[in-house]
Amino acid sequence: MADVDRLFDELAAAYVRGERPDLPAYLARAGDDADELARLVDAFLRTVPPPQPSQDDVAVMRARLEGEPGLLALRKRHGRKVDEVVDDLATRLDVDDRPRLKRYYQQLEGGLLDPHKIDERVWNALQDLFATSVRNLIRPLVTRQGGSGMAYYRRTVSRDSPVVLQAAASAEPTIVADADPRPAERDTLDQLFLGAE
Amino acid sequence: MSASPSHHDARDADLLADGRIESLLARYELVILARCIRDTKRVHDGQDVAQDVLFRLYREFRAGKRYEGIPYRVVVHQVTMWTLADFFAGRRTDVPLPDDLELREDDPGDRVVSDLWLRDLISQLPDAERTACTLVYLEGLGPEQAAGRLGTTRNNIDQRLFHARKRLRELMDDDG
Repeated sequence: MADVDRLFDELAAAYVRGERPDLPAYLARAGDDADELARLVDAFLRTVPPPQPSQDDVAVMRARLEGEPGLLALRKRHGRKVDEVVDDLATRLDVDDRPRLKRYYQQLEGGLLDPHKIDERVWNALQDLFATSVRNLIRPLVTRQGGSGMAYYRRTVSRDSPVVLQAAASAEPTIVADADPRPAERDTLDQLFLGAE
Repeated sequence: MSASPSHHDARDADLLADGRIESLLARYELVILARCIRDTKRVHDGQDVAQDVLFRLYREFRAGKRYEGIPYRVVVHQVTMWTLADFFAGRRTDVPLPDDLELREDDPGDRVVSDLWLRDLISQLPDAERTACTLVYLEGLGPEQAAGRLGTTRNNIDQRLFHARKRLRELMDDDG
């Protein structure tokens, strides 16, 4: 387990530099001391003026408020094609089954997967790839009808279903991919995107 | 980072006046997330509630609601606390706020948000500690970089930062 003070110093410095530190990842690294780190970070963030967001941050937020998944907006803003991202991910995650990885990535980008079940390695790979934390960008904040994105997810998601089949369909219909049937036994790739259960 | 709190408040007000709601929300997103995770004590719950806070703030401002004279950061804090209260009470958090909620700047719970700033805490520290804290917590140098800038060791920087963190921890205790 990493030392709380060192994690805090690292996060604080990144924040005031205008970066988007991945708070959940820091908390995971803090292990049993996550609660203390969360409280320390909260106190810090209330006593420093928030830095100006980057143009990427603003553009992604605008997209999420217009009903578009944030990761999709970020990729488009970076001018990267899905296949380029998938190639990069395949290398970073050491995945051979590229077609299936692509389907999973498209589901993630479209807001169709439960972000809470995504493996840390995927988040880390995407952060390296886009040079910013994307963990909290997956879901649109507002539906295109103006309602709450979270309300839409809560209404749609079955607790037993590993895949949010229709959650963002109205948000980004062009990238909705067929979900894989639930595998009887999840392999390593499944577990990266669906969790271990 | 040398600008005064009122300067930042004025900039927030300008953004809102220009209708740049997305800029305001992006600026405060991590602040909101940290508070939600801290209070719910679960990362996933905190992430979900934080999204509801952002939605509520968006709806408030999109509907033209304004809080004259109250800094935007205080509005963010209050909407976050209202949403967390709904979460803990088992009420829906993914619906807009009721119209009759009133926000007051002099709420005792907002004291920290309103007038306590890290640079004020740092200014009370001895010279060596103040220099290290300024480099790391206000200018964003990593501790290793700060050590290089000051011609000292990483361990020495860690020791100098200790008192600023101690003061933050006292603040945590004061705030529950």
